[in-house]
Amino acid sequence: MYTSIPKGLTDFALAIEKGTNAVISNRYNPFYYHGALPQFYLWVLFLSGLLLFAYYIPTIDNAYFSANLVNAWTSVDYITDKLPMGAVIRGIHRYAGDAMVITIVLHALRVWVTDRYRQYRWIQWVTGIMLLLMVLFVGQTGYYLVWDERSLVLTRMTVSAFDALPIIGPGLKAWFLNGTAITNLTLSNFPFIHIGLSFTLLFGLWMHYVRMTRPVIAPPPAINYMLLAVLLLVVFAYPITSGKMADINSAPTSFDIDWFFLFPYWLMAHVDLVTYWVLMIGATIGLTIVPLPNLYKAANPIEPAEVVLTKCVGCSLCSFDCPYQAIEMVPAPAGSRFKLLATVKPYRCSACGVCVGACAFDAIDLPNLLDTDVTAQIRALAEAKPGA
Amino acid sequence: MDKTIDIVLVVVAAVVCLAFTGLMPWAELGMNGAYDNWPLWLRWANENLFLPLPNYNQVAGMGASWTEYLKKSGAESRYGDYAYSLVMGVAMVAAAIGIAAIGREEAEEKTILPVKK
Ligand code: HEM
Ligand code: SF4
Ligand code: SF4
Repeated sequence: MYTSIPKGLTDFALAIEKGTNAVISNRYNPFYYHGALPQFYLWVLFLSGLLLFAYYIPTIDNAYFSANLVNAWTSVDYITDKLPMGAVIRGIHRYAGDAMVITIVLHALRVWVTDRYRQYRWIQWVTGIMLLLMVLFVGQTGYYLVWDERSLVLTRMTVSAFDALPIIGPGLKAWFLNGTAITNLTLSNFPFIHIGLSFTLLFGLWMHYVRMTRPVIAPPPAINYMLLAVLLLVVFAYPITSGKMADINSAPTSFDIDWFFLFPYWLMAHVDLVTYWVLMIGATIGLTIVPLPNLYKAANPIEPAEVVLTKCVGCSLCSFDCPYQAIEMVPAPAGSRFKLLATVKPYRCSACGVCVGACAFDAIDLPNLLDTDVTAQIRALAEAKPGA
Repeated sequence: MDKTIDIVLVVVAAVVCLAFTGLMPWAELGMNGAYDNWPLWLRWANENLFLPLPNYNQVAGMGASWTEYLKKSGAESRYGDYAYSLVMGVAMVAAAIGIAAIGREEAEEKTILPVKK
């Protein structure tokens, strides 16, 4: 089955999963909710972000260090210092972001290691890469918002990175700065990008899920509690801090790196901008084409299910059950006694045989698997003793 | 067997809940108990309701090491909030283990095949 992956790797991953099952039973095994974990953290981010947004003031104001200055930095400082639980909410928001990146990477590794990323699943993979990039960028914009010295360095580095791009560079730079220099307008642009893009994630997720009939998007409560507990404990273990307030007239150079989000900036600091973009774009393209079919000529081909036109009564049961949205109900041809007819979209079909089991009229078949064989296999599985 | 586990869990949960109910206001008070630091509602309750409220002054020392750790890690204020977060986190771990322990038995799949007559 897992022909395109180094065998040892798959065995290793499956062994860990099995071990986890033995300890906490398959119902609470987080490996079975790998896609739902980042989804959970996304809800946490939305909620905690909403609370921060209520107190955030997106300006830089030029009157630096005056006593009653109200700007992005002082508003974040207010949240941390004065607002009840403000520091904790900030911590939750930051660490939920980190946790989302970790769980996304684990999720991607899991689908790769278990060979669930190509053929009829390529859309999930490709949209997944787009989601990952978006999440990374959203996280980076989060670091600009605080408007401490690190924000200033990151903003300047981003501007010069955009500047180095041909053709689209100037446009991107103007969009990013919301003008030609860092001003109050830039700061009002940052929350717009940060929040706008995080809601755009929902659209990306819709594309990610659209070909799956029953994606597992919510972990069971015990796992939710655990995911939240991890955040709360980390909030205590690593209290959140901000640096000194940014001063446009200064040129800070060094800053702490959050490796989950800011590694591109580390790269940017170590190579020239052309190499930077070549590496980033190359990595993106490389990751995106991982499911390309030509890379796996030897892998087992899929023989999609076929509808027996004369037998199908158009009851739609197979289309409800198909896990990959591969069956479309179309109007039956003229002269038919029935209204609808099932049709299989071959590129979406996984040859799983679920539809064969769903059809009460023997009207859908897998070319290599007889209806009676499927029934026999289902029976054998159902009768097998658990654990045997 | 299952029944005893459930009863033990319920008792443990009750004790844990009570302990946290006491610990949370303490954390909220910045991990010390000076009466002036008490939130208004607690002071009001203390003066008007004659509740047997714990004397947080007695546990004030407990927060010292936590506060010190937080200071060392860069936190500048509201140490109580962090303690709140820690206590809540531990409570949630307990909750997760509790739920998983109770839900475990349901994880076993029971397949019943219809018998053909
Ligand atoms: C915002 C981040 C992401 C979220 C919230 C997310 C969520 C999910 C969920 C809930 C599922 C359904 C899992 C199931 O039902 O078993 C899924 C499937 C999948 N995801 Fe993601 N995902 C994200 C990012 C990614 C990334 C970065 C990749 C890979 C590069 C990826 C690749 C896939 C693939 C290939 C599947 C299909 C797996 C299968 O059918 O078993 N996803 N995702
Ligand atoms: S075999 Fe049937 S149920 Fe399975 S993916 Fe193909 S059409 Fe859908
Ligand atoms: S379940 Fe069978 S009869 Fe019903 S629509 Fe599908 S193929 Fe046709």
